[in-house]
Amino acid sequence: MEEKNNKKDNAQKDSEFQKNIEELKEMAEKIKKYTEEEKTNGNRETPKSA
Amino acid sequence: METEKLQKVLKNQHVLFDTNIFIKAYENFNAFSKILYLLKDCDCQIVHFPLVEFEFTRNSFMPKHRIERENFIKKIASLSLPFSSELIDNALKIAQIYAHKNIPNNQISLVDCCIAAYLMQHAGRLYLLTLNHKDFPVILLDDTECFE
Repeated sequence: MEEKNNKKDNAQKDSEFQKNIEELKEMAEKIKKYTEEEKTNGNRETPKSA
Repeated sequence: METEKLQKVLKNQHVLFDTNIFIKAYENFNAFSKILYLLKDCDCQIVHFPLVEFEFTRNSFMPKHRIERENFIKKIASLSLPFSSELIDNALKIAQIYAHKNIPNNQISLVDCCIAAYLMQHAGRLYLLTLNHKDFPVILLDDTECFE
């Protein structure tokens, strides 16, 4: 029973990890896109705190 | 063989990513994800260090870009280890050692000195992953635990 629960926990952790990887991949793509945008577009928005 | 040794050393340890690792992470996510899998298999925890976040986010001027970078770094490195007020004092001592060894000031930044001081503070349980070994001269490190 304990072994079965451990397997279930591990499977859930793996699934969460995989989901995180996919989310990070999407974020990485956005950062890449924004970095390119900033390189090609010099229009800077003034930070609200400035 | 080197990977096996690395896995053994890193088992249940804390890992700090240098800024250049976060940069490569978005530039080449597939390669980066292999590192994440390796660290997961070692049950490592990735540590958040505010000065690395500062370096990673400082040049992004579009708010949505800066926020994405902040979220990216926080999603990867969620654990905070404490750092004391001695950090700056230790960073200064480290800079003085570099100066004594004739390592030019412009080669190693304040943030790199602070990272070295942070590693010193958590010696034996915190490992640095970097792409630029020149920023961390081996005179400070135990070279038996450096991996290429």
